Amino acid sequence: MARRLGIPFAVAIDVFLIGLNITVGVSTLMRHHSHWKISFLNFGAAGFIAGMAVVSYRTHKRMQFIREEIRRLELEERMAWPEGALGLAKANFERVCKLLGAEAFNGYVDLRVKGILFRLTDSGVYKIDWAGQETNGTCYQIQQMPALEKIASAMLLLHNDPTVFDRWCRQDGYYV
Amino acid sequence: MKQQVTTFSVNGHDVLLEYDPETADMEEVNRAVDELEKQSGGKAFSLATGEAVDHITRETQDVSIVRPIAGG
Repeated sequence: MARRLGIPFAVAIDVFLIGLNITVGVSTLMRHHSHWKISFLNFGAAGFIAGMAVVSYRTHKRMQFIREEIRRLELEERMAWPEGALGLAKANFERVCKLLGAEAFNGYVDLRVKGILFRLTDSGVYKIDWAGQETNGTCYQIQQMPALEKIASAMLLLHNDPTVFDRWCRQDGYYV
Repeated sequence: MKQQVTTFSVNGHDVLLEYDPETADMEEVNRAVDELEKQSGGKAFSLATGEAVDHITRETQDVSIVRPIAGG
């Protein structure tokens, strides 16, 4: 039943439990100052539930991303590209890489625009911080296109306006 | 030599428009490219320079309309 009711139900339960713990904690603190340890236990429980909710949400988003990756790979495998398509895609990609000074590695491309490092893979675009860590990412929404041309498209758009990355991240995803 | 306006696609790329830069009415070409941009939601780029193209001239080469690619 919980699975059918899904995320809103889980969120409602979390909010209820956090509220309950805070209410009990505040109430105990106000009525019995000597029982402050119990109050802080309640506050701690509320914090723990909130923390678990955040972890659960992030895990859910990550699983969603992984499911979409699998779907995308299955789609790519099933597609029979028209003759010459992949050759043209490779030529376009190499041309754009050279023009924009992007560095292609095995499995990804690094493009630096106005001091921001973007990493482009065949599934999405990621922003990389000074420590080499991915800080944010977004997936390609156009599926009917060779992966190299998705990367080339993203590179051109980012080179023209790097703030478009933030707009992409804010959008709800959909497949075209 | 004719110039093409292309877009990346499942075929590698599709040719959306072809014109002779020596004889074509460039205003007409620009109007057609604006319409293509509006239809696809994309933006015209020159694959000779890697820069966005706001106005196509007789010297502009290899224009490709790049559609919005990512989001979510």
